[in-house]
Amino acid sequence: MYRARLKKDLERWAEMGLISQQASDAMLEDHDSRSTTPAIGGVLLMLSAVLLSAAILLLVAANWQAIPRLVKVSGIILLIWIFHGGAAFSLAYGRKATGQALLVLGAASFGAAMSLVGQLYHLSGDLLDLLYVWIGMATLSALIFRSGAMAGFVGLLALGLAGATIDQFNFAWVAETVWTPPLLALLIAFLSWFTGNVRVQNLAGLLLLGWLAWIYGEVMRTDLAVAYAVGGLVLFALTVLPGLARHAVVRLAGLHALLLSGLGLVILNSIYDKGLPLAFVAIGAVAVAIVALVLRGREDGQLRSVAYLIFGGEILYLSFATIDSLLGTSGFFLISGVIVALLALGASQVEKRLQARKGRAVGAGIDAGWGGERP
Amino acid sequence: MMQGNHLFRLLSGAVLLAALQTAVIGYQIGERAHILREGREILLRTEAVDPRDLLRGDYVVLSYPISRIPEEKIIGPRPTDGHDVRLHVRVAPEPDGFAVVAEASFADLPEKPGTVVLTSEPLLSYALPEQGDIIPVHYGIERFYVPEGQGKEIEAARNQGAVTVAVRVSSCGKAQIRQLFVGGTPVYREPDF
Repeated sequence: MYRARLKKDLERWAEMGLISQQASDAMLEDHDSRSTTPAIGGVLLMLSAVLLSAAILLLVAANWQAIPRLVKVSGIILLIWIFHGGAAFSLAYGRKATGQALLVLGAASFGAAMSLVGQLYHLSGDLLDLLYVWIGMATLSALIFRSGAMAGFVGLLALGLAGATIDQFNFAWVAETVWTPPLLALLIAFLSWFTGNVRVQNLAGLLLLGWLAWIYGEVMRTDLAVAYAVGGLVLFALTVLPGLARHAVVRLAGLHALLLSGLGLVILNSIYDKGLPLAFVAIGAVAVAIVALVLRGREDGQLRSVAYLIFGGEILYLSFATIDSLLGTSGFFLISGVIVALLALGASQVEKRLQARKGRAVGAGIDAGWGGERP
Repeated sequence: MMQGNHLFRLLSGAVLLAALQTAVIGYQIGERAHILREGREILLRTEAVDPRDLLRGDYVVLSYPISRIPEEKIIGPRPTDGHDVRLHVRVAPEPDGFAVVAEASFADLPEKPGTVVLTSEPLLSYALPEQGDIIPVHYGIERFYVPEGQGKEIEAARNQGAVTVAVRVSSCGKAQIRQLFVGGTPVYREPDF
């Protein structure tokens, strides 16, 4: 995505004579050589590892009697050794994608081995113990090999564990259900940082959002929903601060903070479903979407989608729920439309003035000192 | 040389991880095999569900008369705090050989000849038991895993009360299914390791 945009910009600048064609080609080449986007071969390799993992896990679950017990157990332990050994060799010889895929297979084989033991000895009620040990081993593997794929594996197991915990305790409010999801999110965040796999952060965010939604479901307090909506927006605003916004992790956190704000707004919409209170919630939702777009809408497509989702969702919901009457809702939309148009006018004026100032600064040959990011 | 060091470090990591995982599996098998070899045996009747576990496959749900503890069988103090509460259940065989609940306690129960003490899993929703209450408990022996698609026969037999189970219990009260019988005949007989 970034490459396509870069290419378009470079072509434009080359055409305008700002840079030479060679410089443009060299810049693009440099980008490609440093590119962190995974090669398609590596992606396919990982998909294949996931399929093979599922095959091993389901073979165990099938409880196939044609393979004697001893052969099953020793076979699966042999797989654990082969996959981890193979991963070490692959990584040592620079075959990163293969190494990561083999690590995932190794971790899956370990889970299959534990499932097999449970099946052979007819264990019940020990799913949480199994998942704790599995996550522990997968975490160790991610740490030893600094493996981003294993960080993702831990993230998926963590989602499974959080779900199993809440299920096991019948959605009751006990220490396990309350503390497991945030602790797991911390673990994922740490592994994401340690292995450099930023995308895994999404799983931590998902876990926390699900957890907060569940907490609201338990306590059902309106002020908590308000805290989500406002707190999410404040957190999001913090991630836009110039010093922080450079980090991809912070930008992702900002995205999830905005989602949290959205969660709070959804709850508030369901609490205040008519009249003036609904109008205030709707104003809040539109304001959140606009603040998000103004603060970071330009650089971040994902964030724009979330802001549009909040905006569009609220408009759609209002059209169905209506403030008092269709006429009332229409009036609300009319006033909001005029206000947003005025905002748009103001915003474009500010943008123009900024651009003019920048243009003068560049023209005068002065480094304006903008840190690359817009404030 | 650099390459060799790198390989050595990664390989040690792999060996460490694989050895740890093998040890975990070995420990899990060893613990269960130990109960089967050394534990004391009790016979249980089962009562009258074809569910499937994503990881372990099809299983038959087993429920036992000893899974429901009447409040009057509980001796000793009752805990007020509901966290990680387990019941210790003393079972003794009746003349027909099947074990029934003799007494239960939240504190440890001393050994008594001719009886076996089982430790339940933590009670899920603990409230101070009142008179006439029946407390449901689990012992970790509530599932019998069967080859895919073969659970129906055992379930049919179970629903007719024809399924019995031999359980071995370790000295600390952990239970382990040793054998399942349908109409007195053992099914899926396997070595203990």
